[in-house]
Amino acid sequence: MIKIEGLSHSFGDNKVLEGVELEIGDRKVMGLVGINGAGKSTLLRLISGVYHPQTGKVSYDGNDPLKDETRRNLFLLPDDPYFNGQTTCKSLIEMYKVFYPEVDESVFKEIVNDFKLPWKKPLRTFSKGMRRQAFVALAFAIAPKYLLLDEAFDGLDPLARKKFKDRLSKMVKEKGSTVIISSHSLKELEDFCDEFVMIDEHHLISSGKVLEKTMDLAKYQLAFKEIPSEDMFSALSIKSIKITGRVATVVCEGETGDIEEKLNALEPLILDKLDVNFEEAFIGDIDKKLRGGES
Amino acid sequence: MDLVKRYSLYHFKRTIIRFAVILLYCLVVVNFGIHESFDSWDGETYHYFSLGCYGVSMLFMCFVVAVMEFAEFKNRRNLDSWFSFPLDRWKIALIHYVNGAVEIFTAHTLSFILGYCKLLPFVKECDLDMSGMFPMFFLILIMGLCYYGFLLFPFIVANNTFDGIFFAVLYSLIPSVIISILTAAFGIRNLSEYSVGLGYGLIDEADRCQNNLTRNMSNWGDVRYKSLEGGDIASIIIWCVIGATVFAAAVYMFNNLKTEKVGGPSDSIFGYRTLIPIYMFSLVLLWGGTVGFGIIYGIATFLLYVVLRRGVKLKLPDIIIIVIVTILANIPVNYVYEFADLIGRNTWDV
Repeated sequence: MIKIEGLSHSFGDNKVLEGVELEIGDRKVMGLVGINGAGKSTLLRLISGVYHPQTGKVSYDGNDPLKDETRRNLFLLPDDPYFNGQTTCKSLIEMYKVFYPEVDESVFKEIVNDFKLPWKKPLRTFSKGMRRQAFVALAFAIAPKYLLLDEAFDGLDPLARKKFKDRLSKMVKEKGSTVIISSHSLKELEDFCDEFVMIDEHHLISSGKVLEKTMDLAKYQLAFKEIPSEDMFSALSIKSIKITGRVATVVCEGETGDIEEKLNALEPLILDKLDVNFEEAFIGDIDKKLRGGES
Repeated sequence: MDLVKRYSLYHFKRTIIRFAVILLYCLVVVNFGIHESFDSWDGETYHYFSLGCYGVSMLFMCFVVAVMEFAEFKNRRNLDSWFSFPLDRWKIALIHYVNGAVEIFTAHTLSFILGYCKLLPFVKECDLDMSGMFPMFFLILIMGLCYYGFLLFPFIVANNTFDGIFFAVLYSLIPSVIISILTAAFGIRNLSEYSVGLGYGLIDEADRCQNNLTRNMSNWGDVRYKSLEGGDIASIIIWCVIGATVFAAAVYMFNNLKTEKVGGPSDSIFGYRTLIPIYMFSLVLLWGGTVGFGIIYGIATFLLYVVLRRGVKLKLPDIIIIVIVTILANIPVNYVYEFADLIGRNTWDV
């Protein structure tokens, strides 16, 4: 279990994280979400021991990540990992074999071949997506007990994402790994994670299960005779609303029956229920917060 | 094999090309550095072999190896990976130091062998006494390794490679500056023999001692062999202690490095914040101020702070230093020396 207690960190006068408390249980895939500059990467660096916490502490089953014995079970894949001008896939796995002797080279080779990545060509000649594939392959080859991924899946093509998603599930199941993934793309987190935490303005503001987050909400599309206004929906707990001509799309919170009753009272020509995705759930949260509502 | 051994071996292998280049450089310097000089002023031909090339190549090696061993830790992107690896920071620092030390040792040894072989044919002809060569070998090696360790401190306290190189140069010259001021202002004469700056001075000290040890690499007149004196030994010990202490401080700093600051301006108390005042006050004392010219010192100090802050937005302590330097630089330095005369200049010997 990863336990974070009262973690605070500043860069000079710029406060990045304050009083972060979090527990991540074993065999969980946790999504870390937040807007740019929210402190996701800083939190991962603190968790992995790259930064020394100014206040508070992080522990892995009670062990300090600043000790090298603890970091043997941990692998951080930063958003822009280290490699030099001569690094190839071949030399990359050789380098990581030094630090993680249990690395499964065959897994690395299998993924590299699967994505047709050149084995002896320098990584600097790879596209950004290819480099990500190589490093994610490395993470799966190491298969640590604790895997920290900083925007590792952002920008991957759908096929690669699907393959990595399957591998991630397999790794969690077989190796009992705990994974933390930070991402800008909520859609991608929805693919990979079963839990999430959200950081905003230096604090964790929301956490829970991804599925439950989407189940709390309902999304409807309504067509009216006249152009509707936002005020018409004031009786509902609206998370987000979009009006295009005579069509309104709303995401609301509450009991489905109650919501539909209130929407029918508006006498729409058509009322359709749509699926809510994780991204809409969060955007709704953020919108509401910006409008001064509860978070 | 444990991780320290595995990483040491891996690191040695990946720096082997760099080592080959450094070795080649040293061999070339020694090959051309050990040469004969002839003098026939009295109608006779004398031979003189210069051995200063060992000090020169050691100075170069220490600087280049220190920078190259630790330059990759001046990039924040790299540190995300390095500092999350299961190897403590102080172990990484030691492995890199030892790797550099092995390179320095090997290059120095091979270039020594080359130089020795070059001198052998002249032993009989010129009546050379080679007994000083081996102490000289160890002397330069030990002083070099101390200087290499010393250089790591300024390089580690800097947050980027440029500042690291700059700090290393400035740190190397600090003792020399202090001695120069003491000598110029207070006439403390013999200090310069002990010191002359760690960078240049540490190797210079070794070089001076090796000149004593190997002076009869010559049949030039009556220049005779001279063994090391008590002062030489004391000086060597002092510099070795300084080098080792500063190296220990460097490892401590590396272990507690604030990763988030790497790549940005170097704001350590051991960097520009201390070096700028030291150097500017020293310049004022050494070269003296002339009424009206203080503004030049002021501008120079301001520019150094602009480099430090990466902009013209200075802090209050910076402005105070600029003002003090500007004022002091307007006071003719003779007054300082005259004051020193009053309190007994030119009478102090160490």
